[in-house]
Amino acid sequence: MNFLEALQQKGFLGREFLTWLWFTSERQGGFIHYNYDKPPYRIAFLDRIVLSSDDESVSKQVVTLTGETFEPKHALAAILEGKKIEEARISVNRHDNDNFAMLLKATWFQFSGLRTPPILPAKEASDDEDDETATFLEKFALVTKAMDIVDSLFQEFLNLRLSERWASEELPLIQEWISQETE
Amino acid sequence: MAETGKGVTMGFISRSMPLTRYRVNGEIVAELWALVEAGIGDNAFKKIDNPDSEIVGYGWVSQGDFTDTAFPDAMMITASIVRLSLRIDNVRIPPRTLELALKDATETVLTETGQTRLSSAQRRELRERVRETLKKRTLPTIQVHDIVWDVPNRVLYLTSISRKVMDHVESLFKKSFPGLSLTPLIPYIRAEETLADEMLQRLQDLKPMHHYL
Repeated sequence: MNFLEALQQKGFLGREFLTWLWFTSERQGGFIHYNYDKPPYRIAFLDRIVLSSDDESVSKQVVTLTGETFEPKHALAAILEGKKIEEARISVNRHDNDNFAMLLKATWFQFSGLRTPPILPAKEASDDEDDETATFLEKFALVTKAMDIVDSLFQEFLNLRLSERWASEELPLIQEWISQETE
Repeated sequence: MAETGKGVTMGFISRSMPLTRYRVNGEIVAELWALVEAGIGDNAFKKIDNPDSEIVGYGWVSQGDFTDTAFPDAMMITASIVRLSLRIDNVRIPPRTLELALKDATETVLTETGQTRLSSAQRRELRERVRETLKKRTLPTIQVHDIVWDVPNRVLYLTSISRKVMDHVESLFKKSFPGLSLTPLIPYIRAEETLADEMLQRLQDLKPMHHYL
C-alpha cells in the first residue's frame, strides 16, 4: 500500500486511536496503564477536541468543543453519531516534572503547540557553540521522548485493536462506560 | 560585525512548536559529512528571479541564523544529527494594490499613445510589467522552517505542519540527497513498521469501526 492509499484507506486508524485514548483516559480517571512495571501515564484532554466522520461521502462535520462549554457528554454524543476524534489537545506525564502537552492531529500524526518540559535557556545572544549544542541536544532528547510516549500509546492501541481482545474485552468495557455516561 | 539573523526564529528549540515526523527512505552510501556538504551545494538559499512565482528566494540556511549560508560545522551536524533550515522568501502583491497600480499604468499608456483602449495582449503585458515593478518594491515575507535529521534512526523532524511547506521540504530534500526520500509518519506507516507479519495482515484487512455501541 503506497502512502496516498494508506492515507485515504486507513486514515481512520489515527482517529480511532485518539478516540480510544479519550475513552480509556475518561474510563480510568485519566490514567493509562500500558507497561505494568512502570508508573501509568496520566493523560488529560484539555480545552479542544475536534471530531469528524470517516465517511468521505458525508460532508465533514467538525464539532469543536472548547473552553467552558467542554463537557465529556458533548464529545460522546458526537461519537455516538458516528464521529471520531480528529484533533485533541492533551497533556501527558508520568511524574510531576515531565509534563508534555500537544495538539495531536490524528490522521497525519502531526503535532501543533508541542511543549516539552522546560530546558535551561541558552545564554542571551550567546556565541558559545557548546552552550548552543547542549541546549539543542537536551531539546532533541525531550522531543524524542514525546514521540516515544505517543508511539507507545499507539502501540498499545494497535495491540488491542488487532487482537481478539478488542471485541471480547476492550469494546465491552468502552460500551459499559458509554452506557453509564448516557444514563 | 555583520548583522545576523540569530534569535529571530527559535524553531526546534522553542518552548512550543508545530512538528511533522518523517521516515527517511533509502540507504546512505557516502560519508555523512560529504553527503550533507554535497547535498547543500547548489541548494543553499539563493534569490530567485521567476516572474511566474511569488517565491523570490529559496533554499537551505544555517539553523539558528537564517542569513547564513556558510553552515558552521558544529551547527550543521551534531552527534549524527543534521540540522538545517529551509528559508522561503515570498512576495505577495495584494490584489487591490495590483488593481490600483494597473489602473494608473493603463491611464498613462492611453495618454501617451492616444489609444482609447488597450488590446488584450497589451493588457496582459502591462499587467506583468506592473506586477514585476511592484514585486521589486515590496519587501518579502521570510519563512524559516527547521529540519532535524536523526540519521541513525532514519527520522526527520520538520517544525511545520503546513502541507505547502511539507511539499517544499520533501522535494528539496529529494533533490539535495539523491536516493533518499521522505515519507510522513502517518499512523498506518508507523504501524506497518512495528507489527509482525501476522498482525500486519490483520492491519491490512482492518475496517473502520462504524459504531461503538
